[in-house]
Amino acid sequence: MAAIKKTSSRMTSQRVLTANSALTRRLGVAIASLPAYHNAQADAPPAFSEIGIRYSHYDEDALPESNLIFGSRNRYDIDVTQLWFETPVGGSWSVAMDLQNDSMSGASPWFVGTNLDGQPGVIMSGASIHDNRVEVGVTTRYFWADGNAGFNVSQSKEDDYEARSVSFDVAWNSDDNSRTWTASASSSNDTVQPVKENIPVFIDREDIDTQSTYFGVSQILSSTAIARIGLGYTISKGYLSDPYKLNDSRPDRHERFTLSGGYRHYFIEQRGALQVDYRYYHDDWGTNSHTAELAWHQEIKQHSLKPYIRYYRQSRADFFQSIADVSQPFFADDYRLSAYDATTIGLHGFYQLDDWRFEAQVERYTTSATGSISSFDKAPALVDFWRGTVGITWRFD
Amino acid sequence: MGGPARLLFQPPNHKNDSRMILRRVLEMLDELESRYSRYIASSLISQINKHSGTGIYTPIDEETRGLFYFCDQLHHESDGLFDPTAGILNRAWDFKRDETPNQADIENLLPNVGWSHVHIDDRGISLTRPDSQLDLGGIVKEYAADKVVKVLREMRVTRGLIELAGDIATLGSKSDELPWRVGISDPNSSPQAVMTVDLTGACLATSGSYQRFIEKNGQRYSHFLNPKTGQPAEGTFSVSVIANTCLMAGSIATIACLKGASDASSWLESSGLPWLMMNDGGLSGPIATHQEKIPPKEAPQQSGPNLQ
Repeated sequence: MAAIKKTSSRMTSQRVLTANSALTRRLGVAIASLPAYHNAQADAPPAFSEIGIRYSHYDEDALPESNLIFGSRNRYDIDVTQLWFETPVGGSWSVAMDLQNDSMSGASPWFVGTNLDGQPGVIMSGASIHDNRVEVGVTTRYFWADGNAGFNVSQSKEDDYEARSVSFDVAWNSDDNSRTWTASASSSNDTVQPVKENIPVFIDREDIDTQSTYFGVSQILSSTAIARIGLGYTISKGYLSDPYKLNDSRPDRHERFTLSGGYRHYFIEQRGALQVDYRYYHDDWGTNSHTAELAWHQEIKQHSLKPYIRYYRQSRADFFQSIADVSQPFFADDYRLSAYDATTIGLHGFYQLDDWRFEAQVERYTTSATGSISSFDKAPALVDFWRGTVGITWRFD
Repeated sequence: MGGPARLLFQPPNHKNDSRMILRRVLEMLDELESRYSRYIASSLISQINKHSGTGIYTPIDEETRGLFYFCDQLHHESDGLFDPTAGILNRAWDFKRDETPNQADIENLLPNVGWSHVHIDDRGISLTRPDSQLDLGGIVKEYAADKVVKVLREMRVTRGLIELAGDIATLGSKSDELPWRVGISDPNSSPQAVMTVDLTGACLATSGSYQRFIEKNGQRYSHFLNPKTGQPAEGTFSVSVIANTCLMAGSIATIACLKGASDASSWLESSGLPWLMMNDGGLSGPIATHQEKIPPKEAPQQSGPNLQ
């Protein structure tokens, strides 16, 4: 071996170490699970910039012929395009920007009446609507050794609805990094100004104010298991009815509570993880719901595949009836306030190629009415849908 | 740990803290060695190896489970080249004598080599083949260096350096003005340093076949053995890597040596970490290209408690 000239390298370790790769990120996750590193991993902004784009197509099934009284059976199609960008700024900050465009077309239920057989049936809203919604959000985040905090501002606009919101979130880690506490608060001010076209609407312009807060904790149970629990509270005030539904009069105040939990267990030999999530929801309109999701995350070399199934069960709002009783102070025939079950089956995959990540997801969502003793409690407009998503993310220094 | 060790640190307060800190570090290193050394009959690794092929599961704690999880990740990221069951191939390759083994000896050992023979579940760990043996020597030394840093941090030390047989982990900087300046050895004239690097809370690990190899008929055979073929990786060279943890740096460097001379560079590039390769062709890698024409102002630290 030839003699090697003696030199000096002034490579600064910390500056260079921020330029890590997909390989070291994956190995870093495995290292972080070891107890020796639990208090060595300080919170830090991402070591790279990231830009991504995602496209989703949402397609509602046509209304069954037997449930239709008048109008088109075809329901909503929605195309969603998302673009995001995130980059570290200095040694302690990051900035992210999100841009989303929703393009909607189709018809929705206008009200529920009685068909010739005396059964509830749907009168649709008439000619197909076309609407476009654009949402922009900016988040700035500050990192310190034991946690991070973020501040978000976003605004969305469509023909008949404008929303403005701000939110703040914080996460902080215990001394041994085995526990993370999270909290968030948000406030939004929305304005609804319905478009008067195919169906009559009875308001010109109304406002809605919403505040919400969340508090949660996650705990590393072992090198292969983590659990979390969280509490959420949301209150909305203002015009909360649906202006495009003929028979819809809701209270001007709505309080919601959620209790959620999750568990993740990694199986070394199988290189996969079991994911279990549950959420309980309760509001002051009388609705309670349960959501349970089971998923299996399978690593395949540096790629992954996740099949999942989600079950949702909801009780009806106090003032819901499949054919609204307009003599009451509050009434609604909106299927989203009825009692129903929903099952979602999906598959989500990621393919990693160097610093590029490709994703694809497909979901099938089906509903059925529950808890009813007569057909007049069943919402005839319950919807089933397909949703497909593809996306690309690029990470770079 | 099978090699020289060196510990430098600035005690937080009273001078008695130094003795207490040193004692804690030595206790931790002894405990790691007693658990993971295959040369100690009562170690956890020896217990696992003793039960190979019997169907008996040896219970393991969370730390050991985490280490095996990391081994599993390294095994897959290296396309099977990193394999803690490959140690038995050293029965055929004796690097203390300049003799190459018979191919038949290697082929007799290969069926007992394979990460798929290692089963881990809630009961613990089991080796399915009677002659399979586990050896965590590829990662335990680097993990030990990181644990020393953890102990120092817990004892409120803010500046320290631990070196275990050439792998270095640092805590903070040497002083407010100076980082830790460490040397990377010349394979031809170790411990002569060919290059120095500045570390602040970072780690440097080196792997190489320049000290253990067989030379026959002008051909050098590295001690990094391919677990699939039982043959040595091509070329003899040294790789040094800098990372936030010694475990990461050492793992990347070891797998580079397993990849062989022709594939090591692309593997090191994919890590995105600073690296240096030394071979007959000279120096290559980001550490080499960042060199400045400045003569070293001071030699790497020589004083401090010697743990050997």
